[in-house]
Amino acid sequence: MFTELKNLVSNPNHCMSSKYFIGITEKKVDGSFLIHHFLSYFLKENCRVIFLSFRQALNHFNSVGNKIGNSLSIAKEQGNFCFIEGLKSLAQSVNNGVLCGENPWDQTINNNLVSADKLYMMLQSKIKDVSFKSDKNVVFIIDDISTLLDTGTTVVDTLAVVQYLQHLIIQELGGTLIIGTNDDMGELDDDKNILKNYLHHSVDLCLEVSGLETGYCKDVHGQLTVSWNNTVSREKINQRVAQYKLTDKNCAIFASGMSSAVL
Amino acid sequence: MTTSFQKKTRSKVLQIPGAKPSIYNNQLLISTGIPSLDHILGGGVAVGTILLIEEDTYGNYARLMLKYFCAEAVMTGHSLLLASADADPEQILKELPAPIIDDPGKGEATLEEPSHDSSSDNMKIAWRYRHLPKFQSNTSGVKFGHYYDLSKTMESELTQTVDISTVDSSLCACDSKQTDGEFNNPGYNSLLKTIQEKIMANGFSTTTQVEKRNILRLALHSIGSPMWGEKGGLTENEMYSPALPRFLVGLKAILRTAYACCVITVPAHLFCDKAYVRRLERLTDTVVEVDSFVGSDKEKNPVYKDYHGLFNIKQLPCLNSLVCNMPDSLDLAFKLRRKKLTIEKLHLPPDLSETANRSQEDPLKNLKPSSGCGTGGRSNKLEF
Repeated sequence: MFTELKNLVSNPNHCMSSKYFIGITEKKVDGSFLIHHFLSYFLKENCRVIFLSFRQALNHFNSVGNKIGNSLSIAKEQGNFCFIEGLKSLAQSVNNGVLCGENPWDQTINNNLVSADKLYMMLQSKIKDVSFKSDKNVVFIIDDISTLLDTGTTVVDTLAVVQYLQHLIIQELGGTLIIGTNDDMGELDDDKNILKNYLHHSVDLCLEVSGLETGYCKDVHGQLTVSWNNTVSREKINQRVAQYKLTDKNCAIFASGMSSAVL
Repeated sequence: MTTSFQKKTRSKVLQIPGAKPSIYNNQLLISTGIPSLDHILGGGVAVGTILLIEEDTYGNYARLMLKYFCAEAVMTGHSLLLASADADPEQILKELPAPIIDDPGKGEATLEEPSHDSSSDNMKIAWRYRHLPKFQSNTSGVKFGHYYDLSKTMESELTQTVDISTVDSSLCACDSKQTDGEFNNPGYNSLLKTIQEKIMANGFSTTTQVEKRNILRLALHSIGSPMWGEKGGLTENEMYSPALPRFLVGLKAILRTAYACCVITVPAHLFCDKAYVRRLERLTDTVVEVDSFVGSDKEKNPVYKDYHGLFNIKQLPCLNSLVCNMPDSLDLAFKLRRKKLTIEKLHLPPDLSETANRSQEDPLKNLKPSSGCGTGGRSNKLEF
């Protein structure tokens, strides 16, 4: 958990661990530090975290977790953390069974495509399994849902999965849903743009990570735009912009142009 | 920032010939065969990751980089799987650059045996080193990274010392009749199958226990070219074809649990859409682009006269660490000398001529569209 990041994104009027929808969009940079942050934040908040990763294997998250003081293996033993191997299972599902090993996603394939409702059914049974064991809040995280688009799932099906999950996690279980996607090319990539727009529209908290407008810099790694949607009072969108720099174990947040490398 | 002087225990890292742990994040690295490229990428390519090279227009420089990668496999004793549909993989293996062997004992034995008596006795340069022992004190066996001489090719006896398997165009040709709809490409499928079988059969998987751990290098040449049955990344109904992304997802999943490392060159300029290329980049770990000046206006530009092309880093990996290696500068260029390919920081030559090229447009402006700070929208800094 990165304290500065936590202070930046926290909303005094709303508790993040119940009925909350967070969207993460990345523009040409890697925003995985946010995923690492939320993993450790919600485990510290004593929630049950279910994490579906399409980008990396569990090993990666274990070793980063160890560096930032968040032991996933202990959380897993206590039953607070459940990892779904999205990368491997998806790879097995979409490559005609070329990859060996048992595939828990066998039933999600329909006509050589990942089918939305079957994928949802599979996730739903996993989530219900975890949530019925205790009354802790459930947090469900997907690091990059646009991988489904890359491998041929249509944008309609992908959005359907998001909407089903939104209903299940937020309405039924009263938990938190975090969905990441990438939006590198903006309007050039139609499908990803639709996905991003949907997320921007429906989330409570939107985190946009992008590179610096002025180009590459060794000491400032990117810019983070935080916006809260307030649907009830119809106020102007509340927004904060900050820059960040990642180090081996931490993430430093500072106001734009206030990097220690500049001053 | 406070530092605690605790000595890190690095006992867990395996000792594999030709591989070393990264000084940044303890990740196991292997060399690409080009020392300057290794340096830029933070020491080398991490085992278990994919390095994507976006080819230059004619693919010459990217193919050369692939040859370096293969030659490094021969020199370190790693296993190699070379796949190419555009060129004959056997031919690529014959054209590997010859290593420069700086160990005097070894060098004489392999290279200068015929003219032995004429050269060895009358060495006058460095006479004071004559009594030094002839072997080097470095007894670690295989060192990290080798230097190569492009003007010579590697002897075939040397190439045969390591385990090399090749995959050629027959793989995709024989299966092309049998189509699996528009989502999968039979060529990629069988390539993935070959890789998977190789990893399982030779014990490169992280789950199998072997006595002597070795690393598999995968060199895949021109994946996504028409020879693989790719139609510019599109399906019949003009949608983005998911075949190549599916292959990359499969490859990534295999590599994450194997002692293997993959270099793919992709003719990115043949794809329909930049957004599609970006999707491919997202599915791999490290992405570099080779942008040669051949045939472009930049070839004639005096600013670039020392270089053969630009070298763009598009993505760096952060496997098992929060942050990737951040190089000082991303303005890089490469040049091909007679004997070697080097990648270095782009320096502009001093402007010595009286009739300087001031009238010309600043060529770097187009290169870095948003890097200027403060100078507003003026086209030239000298303009008022």
